[in-house]
Amino acid sequence: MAHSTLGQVLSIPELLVQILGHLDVRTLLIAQRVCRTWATQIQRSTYLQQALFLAPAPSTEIPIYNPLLRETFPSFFPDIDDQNPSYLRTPGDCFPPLNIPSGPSYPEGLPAPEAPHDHPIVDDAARAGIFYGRLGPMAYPFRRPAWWRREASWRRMLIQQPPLPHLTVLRFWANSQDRTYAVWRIPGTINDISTLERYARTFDWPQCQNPQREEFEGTAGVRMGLLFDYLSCDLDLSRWALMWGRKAPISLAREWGDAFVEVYERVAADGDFVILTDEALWRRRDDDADVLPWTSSVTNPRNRIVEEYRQSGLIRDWKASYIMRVKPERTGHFDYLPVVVWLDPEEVSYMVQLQMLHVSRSSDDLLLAMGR
Amino acid sequence: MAASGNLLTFVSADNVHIEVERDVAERSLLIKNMLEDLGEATEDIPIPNVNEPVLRKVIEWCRHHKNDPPASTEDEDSRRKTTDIDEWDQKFTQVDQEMLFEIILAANYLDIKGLLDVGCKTVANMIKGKSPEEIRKTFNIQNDFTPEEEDQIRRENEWAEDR
Repeated sequence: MAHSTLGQVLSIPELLVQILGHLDVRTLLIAQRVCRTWATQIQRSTYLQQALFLAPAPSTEIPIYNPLLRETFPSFFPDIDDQNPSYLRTPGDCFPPLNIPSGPSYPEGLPAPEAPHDHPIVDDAARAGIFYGRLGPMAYPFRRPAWWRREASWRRMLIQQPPLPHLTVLRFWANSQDRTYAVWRIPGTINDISTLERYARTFDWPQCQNPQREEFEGTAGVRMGLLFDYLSCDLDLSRWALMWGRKAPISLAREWGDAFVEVYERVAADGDFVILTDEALWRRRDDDADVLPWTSSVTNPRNRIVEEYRQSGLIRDWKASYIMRVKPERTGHFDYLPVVVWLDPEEVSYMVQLQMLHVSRSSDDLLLAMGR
Repeated sequence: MAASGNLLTFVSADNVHIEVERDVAERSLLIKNMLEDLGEATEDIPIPNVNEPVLRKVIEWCRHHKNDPPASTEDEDSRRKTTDIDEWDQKFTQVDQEMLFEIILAANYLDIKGLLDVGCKTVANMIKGKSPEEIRKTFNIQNDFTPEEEDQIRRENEWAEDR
């Protein structure tokens, strides 16, 4: 081919890069296997590495989600308008949808409410089913080893360009007295669960043998490996929601009021993407206490992933805890309790008629807030 | 055969003289810069790397696109990966592979960004959705990997072959 025009074009690096630069991310990944020249050019060209979401793009670029990850891991990304691809900063929303308002705010003496009948999320397995059911790797079990292997390139892919510097986790605890929260920033230099484990170890005591925290400093952005592995494998995290955008999710804002909105928006201001986790967000059913999350890998796809990770040696044991070992960047508490009550439907319509109640429906929630 | 006024004369590699309007010729940054350096062009302009049929195709493209806004260098919105090609350009690029690659080389040499883009997009569209084997076959490329090298790249990207 050396003397053909074709060969001439494909052997001029700038032309090859320009041609490959028009490819979609998936084809560009696959094109690395054509021949050495192609592989080398794709791996050496900063432009193509940015196009593959493997190298960070300059912060001046128009923000865009990784289109291939959006396609293969849709639950991790907001439902955005394809006609308007620059719609990166979405208004507050979260996934999986939240369902039941927190227990401690039921007034004394009222029976605990049932979940709305049409709500799909009745337990952790159902939530994981909704979340993981749509993911590419879940489609064919026999194909999954190709996804789970450590070197699979999706793990190294940035979730967006320009990249997010860190993964933000916002966690709430509630008891009958007050609510506390903690905020973590996990550095984007961490790519997978074993690196997160190493990072968590830098906080363990005694510290003399631990890895140094400086190792994790750097300018890399949040990659899919961190996001997926952390959400899937940190078993402290059985109830969670992903949120995009700087505005607090409407349902939570309604339930928790201005104090929550303020905290959320401060946390999201430079992250834009937040994992929210709160045991109190989802009412624990009585039988949850017996069914520990890691016992049901048949019905819970998240547990199946952890089990497969364990079998392939990516993680060592089931009961791994990561984020709780890391020192939070900030903690705080809310000192007032919002008023949220659950009533039977007849009562609701009556109160709505009397304009005592404001009814809102968002993210599948039926959340009732007392009118002021 | 000296050009006068608004007409220039290109001389192709195979020594064919072709008359071109100046505004059409200036779609080529190479020619445009050369004319600016020379002031008034009075001589024939040799295009040593491009044969007559290819040069005529290139001129045809420039003539159709002579009123396009000038391509700005900051026009790098290709991150959006549009391989949309307008209808006229699609018809224009319906040529055999040899001619397509000749046009790309000529556009590269003459520095005609718009035409180079159209050519590269057309080739990219020929690659899209193909397996490595199909790509090699389309462009007659030898697989020069060792089995180990190829296997490593395959292992990294096998997940992306699920569609």
